[in-house]
Amino acid sequence: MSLASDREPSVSIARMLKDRSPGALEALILAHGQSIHRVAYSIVGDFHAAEDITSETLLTAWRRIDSLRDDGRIRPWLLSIAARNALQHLRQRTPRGNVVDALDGTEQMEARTVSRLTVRAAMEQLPDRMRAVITLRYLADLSVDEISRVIGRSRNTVKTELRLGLQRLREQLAEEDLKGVER
Amino acid sequence: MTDDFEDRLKAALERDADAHPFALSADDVLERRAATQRRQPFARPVAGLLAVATVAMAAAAVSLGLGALRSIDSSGALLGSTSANPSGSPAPALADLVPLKTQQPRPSGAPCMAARIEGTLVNHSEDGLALRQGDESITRVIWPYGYFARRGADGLELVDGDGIVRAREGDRIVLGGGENEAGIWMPCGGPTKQE
Repeated sequence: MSLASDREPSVSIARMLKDRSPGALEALILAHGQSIHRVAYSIVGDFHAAEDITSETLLTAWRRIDSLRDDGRIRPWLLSIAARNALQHLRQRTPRGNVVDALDGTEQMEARTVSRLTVRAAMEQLPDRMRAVITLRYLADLSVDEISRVIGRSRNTVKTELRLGLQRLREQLAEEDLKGVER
Repeated sequence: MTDDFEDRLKAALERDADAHPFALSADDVLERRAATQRRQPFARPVAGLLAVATVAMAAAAVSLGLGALRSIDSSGALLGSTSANPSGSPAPALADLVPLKTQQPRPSGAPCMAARIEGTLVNHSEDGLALRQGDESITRVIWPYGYFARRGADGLELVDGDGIVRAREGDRIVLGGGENEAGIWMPCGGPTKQE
């Protein structure tokens, strides 16, 4: 979303939230809801759980907006909260099956040919924290330092997780798996 | 170092996540949060006895049947209120709801402290509503579960979990209960107004 990447609207939204302005929550959802949901979904791999995590993140932002020091940094702040919530969700969940195994027969056939499901399946093979690190780096565009703070591990650990995660994904994803799919 | 693989991975992850676009409105978010709380009423051990303010806000919106506070059309424009509470009175905007610190749900028959406190309900910058005794002394309050405050025509209103206004800013009230270790009043039951 263009709003999410422009500093000025981010500042405005943060200010609206801090002022408890009418429509502040709606503006927050409009500007950042999808980005938050992307991160949550990418980490937990479940659409409905991702909606819950996104809702929780938006309300946490509403509640704790005064702790945001730089209004222009609202996006990484939100995505960090989302990632923490998603990791917390994974820690509390019951063990789940492989995403492709969980699909019905028709979808399994599509899973072999549609890249997004292939990517999802490959991501599912990663350990939770490694998947979160990959998500935060490539979907949320957070820096290594920011990721380090989110997951509570050192910069070196984050770099290692990134390197190993990419290596595993390279091994699992064939060239055609990452090509775009017309929608 | 970013290489071609990383760029394509990023694009594929975006396509994957965007296959399920997030389309909840503000009232959906509040309702979903309230539903989670209803499913897990005792599943929030954090912060001791304090329930988060948003729970009160969400419960407030739901208990009043506020439904959509506002909605967003496909172009992103903010629309007006789309529903009202059953009484037909206008739904207060989210911005009019003021978070209060509230207790966890009290099990039926749980013991109560039996002291009482009198004071004037006043606006408090940190807690939303507090009690003033005399000219200066302010007593902070952790309100019963489900309580919240909202901005009314004559100042803040203290509303219970059923959506009933129990007192207004400036009212003199009595609260049963007692102080916790931090000196914060923990009411047992709602306020009684003094005429």
